[in-house]
Amino acid sequence: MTETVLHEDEWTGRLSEYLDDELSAGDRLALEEHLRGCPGCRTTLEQLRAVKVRAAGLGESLPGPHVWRAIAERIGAPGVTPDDAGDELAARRARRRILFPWIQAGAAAAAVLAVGIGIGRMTKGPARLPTAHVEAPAPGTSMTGGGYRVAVAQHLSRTETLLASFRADAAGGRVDASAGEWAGQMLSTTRLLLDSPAADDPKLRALLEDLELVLAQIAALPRRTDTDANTTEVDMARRAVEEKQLLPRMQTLAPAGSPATLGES
Amino acid sequence: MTGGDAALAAAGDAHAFARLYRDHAGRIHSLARRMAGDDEADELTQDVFVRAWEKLRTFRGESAFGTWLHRLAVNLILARRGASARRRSRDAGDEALEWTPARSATPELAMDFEAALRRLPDGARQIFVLFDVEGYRHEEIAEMLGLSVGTSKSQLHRARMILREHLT
Repeated sequence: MTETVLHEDEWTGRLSEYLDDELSAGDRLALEEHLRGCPGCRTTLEQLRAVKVRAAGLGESLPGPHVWRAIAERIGAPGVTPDDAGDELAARRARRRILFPWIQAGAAAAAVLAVGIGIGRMTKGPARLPTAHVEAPAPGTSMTGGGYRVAVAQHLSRTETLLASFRADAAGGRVDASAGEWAGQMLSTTRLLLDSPAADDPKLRALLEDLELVLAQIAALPRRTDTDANTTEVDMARRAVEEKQLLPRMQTLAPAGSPATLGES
Repeated sequence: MTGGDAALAAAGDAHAFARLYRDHAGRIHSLARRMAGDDEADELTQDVFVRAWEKLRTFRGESAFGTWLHRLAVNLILARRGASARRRSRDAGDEALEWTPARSATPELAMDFEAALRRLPDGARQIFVLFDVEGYRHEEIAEMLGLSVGTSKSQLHRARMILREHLT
């Protein structure tokens, strides 16, 4: 009894190393053997994975305008502002922040999904996200009809760009640094679109559900500051993109360069 | 776009620098808030961008501007917290274990994930943010914080063990 508890404690303390691929091959095999017979450690491992997924999907907070004003003063440019788009950007991000708790409610489920398809890792650096995202609706409104279709078309177009880039980089053994964070953003929007009452097209729902799985897998890959990818695990994500035929399916539903097509149909 | 703005800003173009701020302020502010807390985030964000303005001429474009800025921010935040942060990092292991709550009996008792992150001991929080949120490796974190790699790993694990209680 005591031995069992100590044995579990020993391995429980190494689950993060396993999750981060920091164990030696021998320890990894030993831990996997232990996991087969230890439901407690399996549960803990899944919880730790969920924490990683949650961390990968954490949103950003914009500083208030006083921060830039102080900076501008200190650099001797008091009249300069972060151009006219600054206020619009802040408002858009503020709307996303308001929705974020609701979006985050699915994070644990995402972790389970990611566990199901396996979490790999790739090397990433501090990422710069694309500046354009699908706008979430303001609180109290819903995406229906044409608005929903436009949002879907824009989202599919951007997700296609991400997956095409990821697939190419993965094939070349070098994964773009921003892929994981970008996937986290796309994952949130995918769930938003899936949860909308307007998501009533079975073909579109199936595509969004497959996208959710793959984006969760990419988003769960830990960020790195170098670019040496773990090819085996990145390949898992790349194969998922291929096997689910995501790119051709997205191109069918949202032809490149015509984001309004769905909105007008 | 950003690369061009970085070159312009390095030449003294404050408007280009304002655009860089617009593109990167959210990420830097979030980093500062998670690393140092809400109270210090605004001031740290100011300091990071002022330092970036002063050092932009040394940016050679070998990495993305965002990568360069991010590393500058991490260094500045850690330096600001200095010996105190390192001391807390060494002590954080026991503190984290003591803090670890019992599993929430009801969803109502579960704490918001970001709030739980804020309540982590300084050292464990910084390591969690640097590894799981920002993507640094244990070797890099250990060097930055003046810790051993093993300590970085163990504190990351403890942070995750605490935070798993707050996944709702």
